[in-house]
Amino acid sequence: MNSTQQALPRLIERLPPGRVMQDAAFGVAFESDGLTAFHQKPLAVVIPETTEEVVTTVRWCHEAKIPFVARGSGTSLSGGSLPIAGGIVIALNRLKKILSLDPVNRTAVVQPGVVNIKVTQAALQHGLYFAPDPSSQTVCTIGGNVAFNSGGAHCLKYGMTSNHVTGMKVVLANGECVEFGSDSTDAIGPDYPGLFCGSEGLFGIATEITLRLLPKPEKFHTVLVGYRTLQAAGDAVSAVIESGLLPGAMEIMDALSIEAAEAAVNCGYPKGCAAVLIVELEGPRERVEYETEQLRTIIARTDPFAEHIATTEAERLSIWKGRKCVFSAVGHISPDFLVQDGVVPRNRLGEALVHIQEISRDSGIRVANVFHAGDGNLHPMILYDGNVAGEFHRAEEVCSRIIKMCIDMGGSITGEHGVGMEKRDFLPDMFDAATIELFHRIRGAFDPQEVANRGKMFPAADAPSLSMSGLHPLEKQGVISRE
Amino acid sequence: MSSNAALQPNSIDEVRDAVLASTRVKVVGNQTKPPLCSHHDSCDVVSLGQLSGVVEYQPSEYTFTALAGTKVSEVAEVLAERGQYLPFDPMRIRAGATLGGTIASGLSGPGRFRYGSIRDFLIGAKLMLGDATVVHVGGKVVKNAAGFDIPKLLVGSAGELGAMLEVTFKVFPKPPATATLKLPCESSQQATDRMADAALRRWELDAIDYHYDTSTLYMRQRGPAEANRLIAAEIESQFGNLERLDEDEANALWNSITELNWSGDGSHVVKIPSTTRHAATLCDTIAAAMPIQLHISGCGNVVWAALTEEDGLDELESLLVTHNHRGLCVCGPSNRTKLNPHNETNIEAAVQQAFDPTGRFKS
Repeated sequence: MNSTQQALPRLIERLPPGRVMQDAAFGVAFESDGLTAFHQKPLAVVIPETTEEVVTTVRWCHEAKIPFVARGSGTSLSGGSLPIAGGIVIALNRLKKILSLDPVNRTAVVQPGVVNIKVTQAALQHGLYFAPDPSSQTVCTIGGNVAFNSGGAHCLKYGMTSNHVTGMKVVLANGECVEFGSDSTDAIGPDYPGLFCGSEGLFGIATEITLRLLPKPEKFHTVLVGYRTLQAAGDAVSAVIESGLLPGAMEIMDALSIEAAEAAVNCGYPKGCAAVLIVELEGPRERVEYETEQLRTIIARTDPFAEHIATTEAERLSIWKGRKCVFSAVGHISPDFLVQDGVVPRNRLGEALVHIQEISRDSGIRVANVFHAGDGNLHPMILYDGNVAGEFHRAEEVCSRIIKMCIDMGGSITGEHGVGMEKRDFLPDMFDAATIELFHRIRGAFDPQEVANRGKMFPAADAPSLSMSGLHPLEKQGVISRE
Repeated sequence: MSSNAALQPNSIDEVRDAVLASTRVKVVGNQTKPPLCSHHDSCDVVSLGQLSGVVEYQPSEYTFTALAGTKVSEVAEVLAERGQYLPFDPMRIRAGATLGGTIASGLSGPGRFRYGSIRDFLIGAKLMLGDATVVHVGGKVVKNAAGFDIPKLLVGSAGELGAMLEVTFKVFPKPPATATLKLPCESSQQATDRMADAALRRWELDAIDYHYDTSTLYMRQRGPAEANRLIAAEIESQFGNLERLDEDEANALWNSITELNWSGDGSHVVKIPSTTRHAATLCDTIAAAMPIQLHISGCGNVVWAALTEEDGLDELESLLVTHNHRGLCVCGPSNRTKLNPHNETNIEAAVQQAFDPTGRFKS
C-alpha cells in the first residue's frame, strides 16, 4: 500500500459520504484528458460539492504531501489535467452553479464546474454574453478556461479569458482560502486575478470566479472567401488589418481542413480552393453596415476565388459549423492526429505555413492547418496512423519542429492550450533560465510542497506513461474539438 | 519621507549598478503621480525617465515595445501616425506620464469601459528583480498563454515587484470618428441607472462617465461618423435631449478627465474602485459628509475624489472603511498613498519575496 492509499482514510473521514471514489473502473474515465497520448490512472477521484470540501481535500493533500490535479470536463489539450502518479484527481463538475448574475454591473459569479456556454445562455436574457468562446465551449468549464487562459476565435478583439475575470475566491495549495480582485474592473495593488489566470492549476483551485459580461453584438456580418493559395488568404488578413478594421474573428482553413470539414458536416465551402478565410464583423448595425462596405472593397482587391456572404443566421452558423467541427472532423481523414497551438507574429503567417508544408514534406506526415489568423494562433493538425510503426514518433517530431519555428519567429509555444505536460520541455526555449527561476519561486510561494498539479508546465523527468491513442471519446461524438 | 535626488541611469547596466548599490530603492518615472513616488528616507530614488524610446513598433501586429521610461505621449504620437491607439485612455500623459509609471500605478481612463483597462493591453515586460537579475515575462504577440502572466501582476504593483525596463503593449486601430454626448441628470442614481441601461444596449459606447458636481453624464462613441450620428439619435430618443459636444469641447472634456485637471491644481486626488451598482450611493454618502469633488468613470467602475485639504483624507478614509471601499491617492501634495489599505496577506508577502528576496523595492 502506498502513502496515498494509507492516508486516504483520513480524507474520507473528513468528507461527506460518496465524495471519494476509489473504484478502478471509475478512475479510468479520469486517466486521460483531451491529449489522449498521455494517460495515468489516479489513485482516487474526489468529487467535492462545496468550497469547504475543496478546502478539506486540498488541506489533506498539503498535509500528506500528496499531489492533486483539479479537473473539469477534461478537455485540456496539453495534458494539463492528466492525473499525477501517486496523486488524486479533484473533479469540480458538481461545483456548477451560477451563483449570481448582475445585469447592472454586467458580471456573473460562477463556480468552476460551470460549462462555458451556460454563462452566455444565462446572460442572454439580459442581452449579455461571455466573450471567451473556446471551440469546446459546449463542454469545457470556466475553471479550466481560467486555468489555461483559454480564448477561442475572438481573442484579437476581446482578449483571452483573463481579460474577462475580475475576481475570484481561491483555495491555495496549502488549503488556505483567499479572495483576489472584486466585481469592479478596477483595483488597487498588483493584479492577482490576472496572475492566477493561466497558472495551469499550479497555484490552487478557484472555487468562485467573477466574470465580466459584454452586451451581445446586435449584428454580425460573416464572409467566407476562398483563395487559390494559402499565401493569398494570409495576404487578405494583412489587407484587412491594414485597413483599420477590427473584426470579431478572422479564421483560415487550408485544403486538407476543408476536406475534413466537408466529409464530416457537408458545410458547403467553395470547391477547389486552397484555403478559405472567414471574416466576421460585429456590432451595432449602422457600424457593421459601414464596415461591410469597407470589407467588400478590401476583399475584392485580394483576388478571391470564391466568396459567400451569410445572409441569414442559419447561413452564418453553417459557415461556423465547418470551422468549429474541423478538429473532430479530421477523424474522417486520418486515424490519429496531434494538434499544435503555436503562435507566430501575424505578418509571418505566410512564411510559417510555407515552413510547415516543408516540414510535412520532409517527414512524410500530412499536416492540416486551421488557425486564428487575426492573432497568429496556429492549430496545425499532424495526421498519423498509430498502427504504423514509427509514425507517432515522426508526428511528434513534426510537432517539435513547428513549435521551435514559432519560438524562432518571436511567437509563443501556446496561444490557448497551455504548456501542460505536452510542451513543458519547450518552456526553456521560450524563457531564459532567470525567468523560469522566477516562475519556480512564484510557484513556490503559492505551493511550497508542489502538490498542485505537480509535474506540469515545468520541465521534469517523471513523465507518465505514453501511449498512442486516437480521438477522445467526446471528440468522436463531435462534442468537443481540439482548439 | 524625503525627497532624495533621483539617480538617472542611462542603461540597464546602470540600473543594475544603482539597484545593487542600494539596500532600498524607490523606482520612479516622471513622478506624475507624486504620492505614489513617496518613499522612506533610507531609500535611493532611481528614475527610469532616461530609459526612453520605442524599441519596436509593428503596426501590422498591433504591438509595440518601448523602454519603460518612454513618455506615453510620445508613444501615442507614433501610434497615431499609423491610425492606432491605446484604447484604455492612459492618464496623466500631458503631465509626462511614462509607460512604466502608468503600469505601476494601474491607472486607466474612461476608454477602459469598452475594451478593458491597462491590464488587458500589457502583454510583455523586461523586469529587473530585487537581486538585479533581469527576466523577460509575457511575450510580444497578442495571444500567448505560456508561463505565468506576470505582466498582469505588474499592473498596480507600484514598483514593489521590480524595476520595469522594457514593456510590450497590444494596441488597436483607431476608429474613424469620435462623438461625445452630454446629458444632464437629476441625480447620481439616475445617472448610474442610465449608465447601466446604456451599457446593456446595442450601442457599444466607448466611454460612459459622470461628473458628479455638475450632474452631467457623458457618453462617447467611436466609429464611422454617420453610424455615430444615427446611434446618437436613438440614444436621444431613449434619454431625452442630448447635447453633442464639438470636437474641441470633447477633447477638452476627456483630457480634463485623463489628466485629472477637473479637480484643480493642488488637489488630493483619490481613486476608488467601485461598480455601476454602488457608485452613486458611494458618491452621495461622501458628498453629504464632506466638501469634495467627485467624478465617476468607466461606467461606475472608478470613482475619482478630489479634495483640497489633506485633513480631508482622514475623513474620506473613514467613509471608505464604513462602506468597505479602498482608495489610492494619486495626486496632490500628500505622501499618503492608500486609504483603508488591506493588510498584506501571506500569499502576497510570499509572492513579493519571490520577486524581491532582499526587500529592496518594498515600501
